[in-house]
Amino acid sequence: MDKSTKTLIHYEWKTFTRNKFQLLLLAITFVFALYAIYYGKSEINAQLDTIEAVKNLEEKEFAEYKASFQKELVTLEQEQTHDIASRPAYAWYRHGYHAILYPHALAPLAIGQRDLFRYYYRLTGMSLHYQLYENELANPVNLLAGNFDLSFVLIYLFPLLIITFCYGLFSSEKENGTLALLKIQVISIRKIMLIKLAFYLAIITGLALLVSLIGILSTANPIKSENLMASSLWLIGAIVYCVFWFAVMFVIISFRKSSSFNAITAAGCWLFFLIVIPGMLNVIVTVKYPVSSVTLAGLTRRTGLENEDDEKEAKEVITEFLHYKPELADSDSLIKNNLMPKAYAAFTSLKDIHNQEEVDYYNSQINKRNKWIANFYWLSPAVNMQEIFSQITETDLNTFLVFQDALVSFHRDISDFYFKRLFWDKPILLEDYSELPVFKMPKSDNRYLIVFTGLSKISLIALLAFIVGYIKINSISK
Amino acid sequence: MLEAKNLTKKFGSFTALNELNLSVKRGDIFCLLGANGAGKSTTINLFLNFINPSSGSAFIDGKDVTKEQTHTKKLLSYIPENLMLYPNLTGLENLDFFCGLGGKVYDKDRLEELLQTSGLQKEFIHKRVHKYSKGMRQKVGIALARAREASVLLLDEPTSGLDPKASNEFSELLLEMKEKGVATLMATHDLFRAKDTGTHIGIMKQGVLINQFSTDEVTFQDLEKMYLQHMHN
Amino acid sequence: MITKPINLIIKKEIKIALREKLILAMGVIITLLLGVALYAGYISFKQQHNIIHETQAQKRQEWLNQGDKHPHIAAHYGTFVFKPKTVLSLFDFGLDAYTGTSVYLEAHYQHEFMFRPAQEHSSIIRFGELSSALVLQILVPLLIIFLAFASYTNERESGTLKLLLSQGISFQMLTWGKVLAFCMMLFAILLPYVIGLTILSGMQSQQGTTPHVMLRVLLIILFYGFYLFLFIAFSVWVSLRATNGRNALLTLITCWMFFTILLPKTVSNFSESLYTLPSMREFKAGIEDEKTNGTDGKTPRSVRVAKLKEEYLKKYNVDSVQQLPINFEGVSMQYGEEYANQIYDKHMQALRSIFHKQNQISSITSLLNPYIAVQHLSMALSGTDMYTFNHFEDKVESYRRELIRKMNNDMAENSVYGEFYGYKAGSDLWEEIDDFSYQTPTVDKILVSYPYEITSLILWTIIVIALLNFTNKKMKPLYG
Repeated sequence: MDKSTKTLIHYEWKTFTRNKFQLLLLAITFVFALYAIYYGKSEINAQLDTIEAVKNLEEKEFAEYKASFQKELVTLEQEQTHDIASRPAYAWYRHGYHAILYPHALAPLAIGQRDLFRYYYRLTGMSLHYQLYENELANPVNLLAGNFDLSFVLIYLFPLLIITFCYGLFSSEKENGTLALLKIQVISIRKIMLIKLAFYLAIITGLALLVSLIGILSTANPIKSENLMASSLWLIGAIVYCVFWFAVMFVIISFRKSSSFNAITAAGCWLFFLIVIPGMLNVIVTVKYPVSSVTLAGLTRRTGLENEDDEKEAKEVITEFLHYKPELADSDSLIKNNLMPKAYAAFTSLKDIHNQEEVDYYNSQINKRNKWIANFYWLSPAVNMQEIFSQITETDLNTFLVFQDALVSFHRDISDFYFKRLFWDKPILLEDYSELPVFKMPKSDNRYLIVFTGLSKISLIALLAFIVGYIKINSISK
Repeated sequence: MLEAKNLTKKFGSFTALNELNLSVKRGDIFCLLGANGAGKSTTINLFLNFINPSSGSAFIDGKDVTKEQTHTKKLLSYIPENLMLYPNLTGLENLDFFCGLGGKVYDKDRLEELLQTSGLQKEFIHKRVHKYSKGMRQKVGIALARAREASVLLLDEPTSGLDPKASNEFSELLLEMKEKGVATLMATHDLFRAKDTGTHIGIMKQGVLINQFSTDEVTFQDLEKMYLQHMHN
Repeated sequence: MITKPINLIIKKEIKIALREKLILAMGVIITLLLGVALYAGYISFKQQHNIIHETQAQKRQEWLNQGDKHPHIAAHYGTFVFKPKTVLSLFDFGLDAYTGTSVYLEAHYQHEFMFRPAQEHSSIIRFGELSSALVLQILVPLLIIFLAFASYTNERESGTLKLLLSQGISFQMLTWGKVLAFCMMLFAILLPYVIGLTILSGMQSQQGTTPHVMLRVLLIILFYGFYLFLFIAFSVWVSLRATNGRNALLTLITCWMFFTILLPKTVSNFSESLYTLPSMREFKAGIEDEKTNGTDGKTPRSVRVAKLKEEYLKKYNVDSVQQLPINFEGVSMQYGEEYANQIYDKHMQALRSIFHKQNQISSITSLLNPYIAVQHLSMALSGTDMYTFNHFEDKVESYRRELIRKMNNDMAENSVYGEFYGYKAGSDLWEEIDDFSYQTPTVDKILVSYPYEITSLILWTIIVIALLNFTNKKMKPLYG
């Protein structure tokens, strides 16, 4: 580092430490970031508490079932419990299993869509669609306001910090009259501006990394192999996003206009990236791909056989169902025992089968929407960054869609477990309890690919902006 | 040390400077006189390479200022009419900063000495510049020129608006630098200072250097008469 | 009649603004955005309105044509209600993306609303949707700031201020001249939009869900007028007080940021931490628990029904339920329904009061922040606010109760005890249930429920005017 660079940095530091307003801004941002981390943690902790509670309920429920095999049945109630535990005719629609989407260790830093979607379901062998669409309680006003989490602080507030620090880097020299003295120096204006920008880049990115590290360390153990990748990507993301905004500021500065012009232009960019572009994309996608859930509402209707005394109808339903599940047929006692429970089980399963097309159509519409809108993420690095952060912390829409797909197969496992016993008239034995269906959330393998593409897009735009600024700042005629 | 050859600057159709030929040697103080808009500042700005000439060239130490910036910039120092410094830094820090940019690092004592010998009162050296008067800022400018060990000094009406005492002190410092062989080109309105301090005088009108002579050749009264005559024609 | 000098001042301000390319560009962009927002809002309203209308009619047909069946089975078959789009949702989407849209009405259970439209979007939806309200609440104020921040500092920096004042013009006149000039420019920019909005909402006012559409539009214009005037007056005031344009701009943008982005989010997040919501599971478990064990925790359902049975036997002076002139199953069914309703109401009220407390915090904050005030009033008048949603939920729930009550009463009157499949009702009974139709609360009811917000706008207007007048009197042309 040559002497003049050292001097520049040394005096930029002096100016910086003497500017009370800037120091105050940094302090405020730091406090906001800490609050955001706290808020995110409290939100996710509340979800973890709920998860803990539902898991306990499930464990208690199944412990009772298991206990009923070993105890001597005295009271009527005990007998009822044992019936539910051992007789598939009762068990298939009473045994409830929880499918839980655990929050990623870093979820408190970017809550994403986690407050909007359900992260746990209790499923029985009953019609899946009947169990799928209930929402978690939430205050719509607060959902609209959104979450004040660390991703918000980084995406919304840090650019503003960068703008206030950089908009006057060149223009204030001009307006204060010190520019003339700089211009007679051997060191070029371009180099001076680059050094100053690099100086503030180091400070602000340093702050972004500091709060991110605080966030990561307070929510997860980053050394653990499953968190290592996510944590490092988060940190890289924070750097890339800050660099992008510095590149934007470099372009604006390079036009060598007045401070007011720079401030207006920078605020305009912020507005465009964070409000106008996403706002436009959202209304366009809503109008272009109208999705209406009202058609799905009908699936949740509770219906049953027209007449539960009508054996003919019951047999018809069962036959139709066995067409889809031939492996359940051929039992001698198919029609003799438990006809009505079998018919009801067949009925609700058939309902799911018949309605699947409609559900698939609805989901495909949502997918189309998101594919279309994802094509335009590059328009706004802020939107891109939000998506990257929620991808990293697994709070993005796609995670929830995968979760819902996983529910379908989990529900199939549950139905299979009970229907095998129900239709073959076999009781549920104590040893069966060791092989109950278990919910598995599939790992998405392209998650990091999406993150990398997103980050490279932002980096590319930043690079382009930097090149424009680099050329422009010298091309202004004297 | 300073040389202009057919130096011309046009802003659109307006000719701000027309075919200027001028030479300032080591130890010379060349004062440019003329009305507002006569082309004095344009001349200075061309030597500073703040603007590009339309034709002709400006040389410092025999080097074209547009082509060998790195060399010519090292040699020169500049004090504008109203020298502005960073208000949040002290005089000493400003000096240190600008010296450092030019690659010159002095210790604190030397900087203090430079400021003091340039006429800045001691108690102000460590005060922030926003408390300075205009004269004090100009003195920091002188200190800077001396610290940079500039061999060329370009001054754009440096004494306008200074009180007579400050103005006098400024002249003293110019003379001191003259002794060290600095070539000075100064645009000014102050006939008295020009005669008193300058070694050469040039009178400009509408972008043309219409007259130049040594100060020894004229008395102050002659100079004033000559100046007003030129202005009236 | 305006005096002449003030006319000149207004003219000069407008001229200067028109020569500023940045301002012109901003004006064009705002007009375009408003146009896009209005058009998209209208299309989206039409799409949603049509599909809801159709599906609602289809569900009605399903109900009417469900065939002959036992009334209690019909009560379980139930029906669906869809949240209708209000006409002015084309202006302000409000909470529409975050409130559920469909609800299933059946016996014994109060289902919650399903499907929040925001769930059909990726995380980009949390950046907000571009509605006219968003443009007017967030973008137009920024345009005002850009327009007005230099109104005084320019005059001061260029020295024209001294010149103006030496001509005998007072600060009072200069300030108000500037404020009026900006009001006129803004009016000119927004006029085409206002006309468009009036025409489009007027065209749709026959949809019926929202009464007094035109009055609402008028009030919306009025409230936004107050809000935007506040920004104009405040910007001019800051410019009047600031040492230079840069400081004025920085101060104004900081205020804008704080009021429109930071404070609303912080307040609502804070309210969320202060009053925590139960999870759906807890909420449901609480209701279920009281249903099984009774509200006092020690009267299970069997005991409650036994007591009811005794009462009826006594009332009709008979020995067994078979001898009752009505089907006791229907009676006990309705009794259970009403008992469950009581429990639900209690829990729902508790839940609502948490929502209310959370939202109350931001209502009170609106006294400090006119942005929140205008946001709430805008949603309220557009019928996309919490108050209207709760009102709708209540109407839906009472429709459900009426439907179930009719089913149970029919069962009690017409069927025979113990012979569940012996009785079937037909389309006569189904037709006795009116189709569900909904009207949002009237304007006066809405206004009454937002006292803080209205006070806020009035208070701020008074404060800003007072501030301007006070500073005008104290101001000297040279700063400091």
